[in-house]
Amino acid sequence: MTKILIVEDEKPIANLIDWNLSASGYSCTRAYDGNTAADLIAEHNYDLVLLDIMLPGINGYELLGQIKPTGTPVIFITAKGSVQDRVQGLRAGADDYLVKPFEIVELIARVESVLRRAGKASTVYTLGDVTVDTESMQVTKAGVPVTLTRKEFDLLVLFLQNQNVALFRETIYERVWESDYMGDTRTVDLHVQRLRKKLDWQRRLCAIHKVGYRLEGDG
Amino acid sequence: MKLSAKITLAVVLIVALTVSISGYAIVSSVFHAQLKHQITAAAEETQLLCSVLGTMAVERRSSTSARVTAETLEETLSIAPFRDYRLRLVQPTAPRDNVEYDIVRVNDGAETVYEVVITCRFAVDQKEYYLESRRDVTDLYELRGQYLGTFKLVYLIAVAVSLAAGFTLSAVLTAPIRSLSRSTRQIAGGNYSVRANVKTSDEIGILASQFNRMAGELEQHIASLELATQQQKDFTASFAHELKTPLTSIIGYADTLRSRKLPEEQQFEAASFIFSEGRRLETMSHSLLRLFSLENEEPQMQRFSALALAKSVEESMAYPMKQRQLVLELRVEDRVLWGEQSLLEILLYNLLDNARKASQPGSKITLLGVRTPEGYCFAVKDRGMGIPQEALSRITEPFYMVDKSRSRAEGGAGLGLALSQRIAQLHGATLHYESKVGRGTVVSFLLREVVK
Repeated sequence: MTKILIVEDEKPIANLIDWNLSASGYSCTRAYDGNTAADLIAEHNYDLVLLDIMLPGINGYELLGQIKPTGTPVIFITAKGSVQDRVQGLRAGADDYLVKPFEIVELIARVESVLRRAGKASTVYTLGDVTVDTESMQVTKAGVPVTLTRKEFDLLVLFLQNQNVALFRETIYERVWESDYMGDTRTVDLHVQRLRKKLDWQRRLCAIHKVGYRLEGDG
Repeated sequence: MKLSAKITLAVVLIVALTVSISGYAIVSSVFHAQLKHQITAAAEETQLLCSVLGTMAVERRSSTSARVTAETLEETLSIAPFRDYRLRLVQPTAPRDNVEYDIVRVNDGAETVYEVVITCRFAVDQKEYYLESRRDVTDLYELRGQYLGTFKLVYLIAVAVSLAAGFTLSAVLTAPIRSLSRSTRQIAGGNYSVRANVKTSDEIGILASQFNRMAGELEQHIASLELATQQQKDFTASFAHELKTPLTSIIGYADTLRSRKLPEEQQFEAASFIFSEGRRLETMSHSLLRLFSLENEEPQMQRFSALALAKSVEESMAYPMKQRQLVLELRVEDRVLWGEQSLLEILLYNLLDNARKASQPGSKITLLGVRTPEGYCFAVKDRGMGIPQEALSRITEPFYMVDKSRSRAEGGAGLGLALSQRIAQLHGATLHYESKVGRGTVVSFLLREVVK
């Protein structure tokens, strides 16, 4: 199981991240201040550290200096969202940058992508008889390759990353089409329908009335 | 052209002009005096010779012929003593004065010779003759040449000396200006702490001291501007942080609630977080609005009773105090004070609330109101945890919290003391803190008393 350390002095936020990452199958540990975090990092091995910058005790940058030599990837979580702050954070050696306030889908996507880049997450998703290799971008159903367009593939990965999570149409649109949702529901609906047909997922990919879709996982 | 070059040039020009004019004037006046002397001597001599010649010719006539003729004179001239002089009889075309002189330049082969030619009129036997004598004055001209040579040397030395003097003088005179200009450049370059180091008591010294005064004012203004900008920046940054933190929770929990099927317990927890973080935003916006409105509005100053103010605050503090099992002790002298009571209530409420948060259950908080020679003094005294020394200077900064997690738990936004400070300022007062960690804190401020 992938182990994630959450260093965040705001308890509600630490709790929020913990819930959602745990629901996605990660094992989470929380630290509410820099000193506790430093001790935990020294004693345990983590696959990923989510790090707030403004912390009581040792601050995020100092902690980063301690984490970096271990090779553990780090995602900064901070309210400072200016380009300068991001550049400073990435220069300091952070693998990614998550700006408050963030959506849960974004948190999970970033965590997954950083873990995959670090080689700490499987690049292959399996659900039922469907196997998706995100690296070679190959999809097979019962061993038979399925041809998907780029958007269909991205949509599929988004659903796989957020199993049992209700994905709202605007969220889907913003994540897959990477632009602001302008109320165009047809694009999302059309792609979901094609995906259902190609994977025979009429039951798994269920529509939530007036809201969006949810991929029913096995769990 | 640089000022120093101008000064040097001016000095050299003045010296050169003065020396050349005066030198030339002296040399030529000496020369002319000598020449005049020579001419006078020659003229007198010639006149004397004329009369001697006349007399001798008359003497010779008496022995030879009846009348003196030009020939007689010529003959006479050829004998001693006239042979020693360069004399001859001349017959000018136009009649002339008794004695006339002329200076002629004779080119005698290689040499140039100057001669004074004197023409003198004399009469023998009612007939007029003119005797011309020549005297060599080349010496005088040579002497003048020598003088001019010497003078040229002196002139060159004078110019050289004046050049050096002018250079030194201009360097000394312009040194303060250059120093001033250097300082100006540095200040323009952003180094506002530089001052011109000019100690002269002349106009430049005055200019420098005025310049330094200006630089001082400028530095102060810049510093206060920078401070204001920094405070503004800090405020914005803190504000963004304080705003985004509860928003992250609200958005995050709401997002989780709408997307996941959560157990009932977690649903309740998420809703509680949304509620409490929403409340936090509300508190913050409330305090901020009040802070902003205080920035722009003048307080409505009125007379009010110190005891009434204290009673009113005690009343509103009663419930929170009771919850913590704290005792609020009132020791307030009743006086008539000047200020806006509603604002001062907020101020005292904030101070008491801070004292409440710092105190252990069961302890006592005192609200003091006493007359002092400086004015009426309100003080809030607690026996709580105290404020660490390094935090004391920062506690009135907006959003600053000594213990963030504790403050959060109490629902604070870190704006209470910023607000209190502002209210005190509007009343011409400053908040004064005395604190010992583990012992407690005393916050006090002075108000104006209305004298009956």
